Amino acid sequence: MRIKSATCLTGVAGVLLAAAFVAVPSVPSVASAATGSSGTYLVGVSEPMTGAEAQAGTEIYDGELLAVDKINAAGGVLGHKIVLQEEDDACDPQTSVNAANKLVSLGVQAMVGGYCSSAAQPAEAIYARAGIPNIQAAANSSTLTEAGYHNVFLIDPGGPLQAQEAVGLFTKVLKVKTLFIADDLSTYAVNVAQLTAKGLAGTSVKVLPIEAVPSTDQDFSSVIETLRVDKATAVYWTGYFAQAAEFVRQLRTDGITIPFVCADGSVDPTFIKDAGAAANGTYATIAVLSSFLTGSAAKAFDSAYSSRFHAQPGPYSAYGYDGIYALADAAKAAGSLSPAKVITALHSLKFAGLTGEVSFAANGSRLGAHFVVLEVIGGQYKLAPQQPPTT
Amino acid sequence: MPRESKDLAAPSEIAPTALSDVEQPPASGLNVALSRLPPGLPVALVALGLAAFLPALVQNTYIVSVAMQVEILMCLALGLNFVVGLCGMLDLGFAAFFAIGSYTTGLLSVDSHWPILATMPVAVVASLIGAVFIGTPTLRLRSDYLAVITLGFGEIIQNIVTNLNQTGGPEGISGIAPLSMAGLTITSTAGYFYVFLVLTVLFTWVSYRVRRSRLGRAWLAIREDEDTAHAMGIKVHRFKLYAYMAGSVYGSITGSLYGAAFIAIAPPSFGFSESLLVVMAVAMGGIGSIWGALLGAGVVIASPEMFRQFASARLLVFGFLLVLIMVLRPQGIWPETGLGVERRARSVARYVRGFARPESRRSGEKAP
Amino acid sequence: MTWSVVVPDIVAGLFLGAFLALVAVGYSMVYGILRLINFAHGDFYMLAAFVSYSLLAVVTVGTKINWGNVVWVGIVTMIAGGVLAVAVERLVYRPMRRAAVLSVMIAALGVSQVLENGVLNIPGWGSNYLPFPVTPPSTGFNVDGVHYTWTQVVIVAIAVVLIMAVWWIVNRTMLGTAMRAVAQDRAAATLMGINTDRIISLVFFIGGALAGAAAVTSSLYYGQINYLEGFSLGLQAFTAAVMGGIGNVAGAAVGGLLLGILESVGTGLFGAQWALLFAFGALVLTLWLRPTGLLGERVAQRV
Repeated sequence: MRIKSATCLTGVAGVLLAAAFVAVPSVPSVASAATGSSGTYLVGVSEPMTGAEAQAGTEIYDGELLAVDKINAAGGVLGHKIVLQEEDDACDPQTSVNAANKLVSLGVQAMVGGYCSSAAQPAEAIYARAGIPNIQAAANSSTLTEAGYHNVFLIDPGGPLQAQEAVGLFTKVLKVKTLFIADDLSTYAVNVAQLTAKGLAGTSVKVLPIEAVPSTDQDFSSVIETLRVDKATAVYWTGYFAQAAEFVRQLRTDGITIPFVCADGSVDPTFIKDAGAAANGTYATIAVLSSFLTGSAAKAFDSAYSSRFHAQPGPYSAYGYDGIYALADAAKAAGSLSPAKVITALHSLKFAGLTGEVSFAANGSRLGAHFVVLEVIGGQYKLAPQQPPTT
Repeated sequence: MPRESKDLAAPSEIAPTALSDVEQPPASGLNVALSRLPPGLPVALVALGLAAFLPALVQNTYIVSVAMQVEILMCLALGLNFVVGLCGMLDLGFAAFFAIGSYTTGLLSVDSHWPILATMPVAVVASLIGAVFIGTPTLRLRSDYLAVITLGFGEIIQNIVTNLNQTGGPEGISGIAPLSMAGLTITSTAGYFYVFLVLTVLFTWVSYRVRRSRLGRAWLAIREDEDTAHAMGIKVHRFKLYAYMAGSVYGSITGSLYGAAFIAIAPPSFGFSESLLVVMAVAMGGIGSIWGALLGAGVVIASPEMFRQFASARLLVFGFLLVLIMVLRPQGIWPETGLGVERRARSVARYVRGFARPESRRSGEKAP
Repeated sequence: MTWSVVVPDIVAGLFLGAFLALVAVGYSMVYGILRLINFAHGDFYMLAAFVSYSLLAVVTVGTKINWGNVVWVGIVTMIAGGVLAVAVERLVYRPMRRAAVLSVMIAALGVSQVLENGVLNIPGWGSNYLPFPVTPPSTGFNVDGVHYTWTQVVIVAIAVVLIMAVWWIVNRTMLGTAMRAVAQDRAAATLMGINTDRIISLVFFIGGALAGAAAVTSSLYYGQINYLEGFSLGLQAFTAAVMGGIGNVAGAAVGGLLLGILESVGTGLFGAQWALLFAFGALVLTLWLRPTGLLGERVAQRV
């Protein structure tokens, strides 16, 4: 009879399947003990490990790892060694929610990481409910701080300061007549582009309509044609390094020599490698990079990073590094690893990080960052000889 | 014991037919009543029972959250099942309806402060309009061209919501209100787990009823042989449109609740990758099969999560799993023709009985 | 909207279209012979690009371009692309010959995931945007104020030669007749004594080889490769193949060129973010006016 044989077998199979589905993920891959018992300080890192942003995710993680090693070598945080637990958020809201839930269920005491704002947004609620510090290394959309969560801290200073620096560069230093701004349709790039355009309104610089180039586009020939016809005298690219390299390469191949400026997302050794000779003479606006700070901390970061990971640090590696230090310093100031106390300490924290002075506004956004203009000279990033006046 | 009509049907694995679950074995009493139930219903009820207690059983928000996402994909897969499974049309842009539902609810909730439940009828109407608008000129095309057009439609919708400021641009919409009904406001993951569980059960029941109705049979006829269906008097084009519209309703309702559950929505969640996930769920589960769609959704969501231990190689393992399943079982895990368990059980039984009666084996007689 | 960009954009689009055409022809041939939307085809292109990258990285010394190296690496890459395509066909698609097309499509998606994430996890490759070891010179000529390089001309010439060669094979040789026969009716072709398995493998080889050629030329031109570049290109190639007519070599080539031009002109007129919309709008219009594609399809009607 159909009911007996089929149903019995499928019923058993179904229950086994359901049991497996429940059992497998609940086996934690890392000891989920809370702080005191095993002597470790478990810190979660949610960043893209797969997908188009995987490289940025690796750079942030490696920056954090460097900080963790230094702190652990000096005895750890209040005697506890930091252990990082990495989870993939794939720059996707759903995956990010799963990563957040996974980290919380593993008992992490804090989360330091995050690259995509759209992925960070739904995950915020989860970290808030868990009551742990949510330190975003690179995600910096204002929507993250507007949600009203008390535990969110952004290391990346975000659009307004960068736009300010760009405005100064175009009006006072390069004295541009007609500016062509392009972004890659990502949240941050659009933000910077729009703020820059707004900041230039009423100045002598004429801003052409902002061009949005989807991040999968490699071919800039029609974009270049547009800016040629519109007689642009400078270009500001607010997207990321891969497209920046393509853009400037094709621009120079077409014989167009106008100044090319990019925002901090394009400041990456890959840009110089991929653009080749075309990279020389390009500018970039960025929060002060470690290599341009004097002092042993910055030099140590660069050489330690290169020797450990056989690559130059990326634009957000230093943010990851500062994020870990922010957490560690706050815990030390609070004298406890308890998440609630660490959050309170973070709010009144102030220290000198690689990216400048680190402190946070009441809503968690970053204060104290200082932006500069870099120029590529001889295949290397150097501080541009002429800096816009500091406002 | 009456012979099963399933044996006679011997459905081909290339083109699953609907005959198997329309014919019923004649018998009396309990057997009749039980055999009229959809195949696999007892299993489903057991699973439902387990699911209902999942949050309490597993005290782990991560698992509940993944289970909720499985349910969301189940709802979408059931919707696509009308289009791809029952009607045989290859739709590669299903995420468009998901997007229409989410964005309609998102905009009305954030800009005009409508309660979620009030936005849902608007979302449904919007997606129906979209379905008719796209479906009318294109559904008469052959499957391959339809695939490209629906793909294009999906990309166009994603493109529009990414570029327009009114839809929040690349940042999307945040601050969508939580679902509240009868005075109860749902904010927790477990809460939305139950919301989507109810939705899944509802959608499954409706799918089952529709499939057994004249509408469903017309769709199956169109899938099997369009010209014959036309000759039988079925207005093929109109019924194809109905399938597309039914799918869009499922997609938009799921989208509305998705917005409420995740508070924020952004364009990357509504692209070709999302459409492919739904197609994967339907195809892996078994084209046209309702249980298959549910199972497929479970595998597609749960596997990448289960493979998190492989770190950056988790999608690599998932890819291998996908290829393996499709090569070894191209009809899907639980196709319309059933799991094939009875056939296998019967052949195993026959083989075993053959050992018990060595004489009949030598003489070539089959065991009773 | 500045209309003066249209003409230079058309020329730029022809160039972009050359790459699309190469990949679209391969896509279309596989599509025509197996009715399979091979989502992994774009990833054949991607893997070929990485292979050529590694080969050139090994043999390139200094920055002076050695055209001899480029040529033999190009040929090796084309063969590698072809071999990869045949391997996937034998391992994954052939066992599924009798399965529903949708199932094979999902298997193709699986293959795509394996190829992409395989490259992601291979040390030395990974998620980085890797710079191509060879940079072509930018010497060229000016027309109307726009600079065109000889490299661009050579690349377009290579694409044209390859596509014409494939067209000749498909339409003027016995082998091509066999291919068209298998595409039209596989059972009848077998009855006629054609070894359908071998023909199908050959079609895959040609498609993979074309993808390999596209990979080398575009990597040379754009200067960087990335493990996710195949998917978007594959999608565009598929669109181009359908627009031109399934199974039709000339159609796929025309489709590729047309799509390149549409995207380029669309960018110039409306901005890059609307280019995709423009292209798909054109696709819908094309299929509405000519439901079997611009140059018609070369497969039997499904009865």
